[in-house]
Amino acid sequence: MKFKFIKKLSCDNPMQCTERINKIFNEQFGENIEGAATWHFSIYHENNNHTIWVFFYDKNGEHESERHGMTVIQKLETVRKFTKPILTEKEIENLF
Amino acid sequence: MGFSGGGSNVLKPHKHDGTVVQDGGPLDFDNITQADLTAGDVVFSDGVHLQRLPIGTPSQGLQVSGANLPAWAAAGGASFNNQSTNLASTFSTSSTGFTGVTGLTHTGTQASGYSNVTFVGSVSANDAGHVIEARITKDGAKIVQATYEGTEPQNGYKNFVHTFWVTSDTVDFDFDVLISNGAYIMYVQGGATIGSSFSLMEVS
Repeated sequence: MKFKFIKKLSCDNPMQCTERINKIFNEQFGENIEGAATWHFSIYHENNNHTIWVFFYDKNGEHESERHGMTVIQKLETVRKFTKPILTEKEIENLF
Repeated sequence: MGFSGGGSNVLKPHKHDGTVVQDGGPLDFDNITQADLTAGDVVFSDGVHLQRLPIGTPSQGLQVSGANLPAWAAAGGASFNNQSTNLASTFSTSSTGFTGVTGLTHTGTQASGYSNVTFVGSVSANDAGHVIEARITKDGAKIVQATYEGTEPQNGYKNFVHTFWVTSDTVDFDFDVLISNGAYIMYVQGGATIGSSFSLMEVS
């Protein structure tokens, strides 16, 4: 499941920008599964035009990402289904 | 047969073979031997007689005709058509599967021949010991891939250059990345000092 946000964020240091959002997301979505991932996020850091993607994996073994605006499914053994309650788009947006 | 054998004044057939006594000696072409030639003419044999080939025009090259004889024709050297696109992107992800980096996509179109594509980029991670993989895809298929691991690049961008040849008419190039551990983050840097760029040079 993909969520995509366009935000008027400005950052001089993309690492600090990413770490801030990573901390928020990890507190909310983090699952302690050894050697596996249940979600991921990506950020395109254009000043005043940040794009933030959050992907929650729907199935075991199916990684989701985006290419040219389209969702791409890749077979990946280390992917597990996201089992935590999924927030609404508005709820996620209010996190950052 | 000697050059003047038989004691007569009749010029005997000869070949100007320098290894044969009285055969006229080596024929001296250097500024002595004359023929009805024009400046720049080239002389060749058609198998029976010598023939003159008038000089060609500037930029022409000497080639072989359909009759298997020398001829001047348009030079067949390579021509270059360079397409260069400077792309900048600052991107971060915790993805453990390849994900496309926004802003680092280039569509190249070539009329003929081959294209050289060069990609310059830089990557980093917020923790050592986790593998970063970066690859370039052409129309969605991997054509070159690099792996970075160890203590570098821990919060220090690591530059790289990929260059390769392609032959397709129209191709989409994308830059994909991943990090081996989803608990960490990898970065792709753009900007003024260390840019990410594609250039496509067509050779035909």
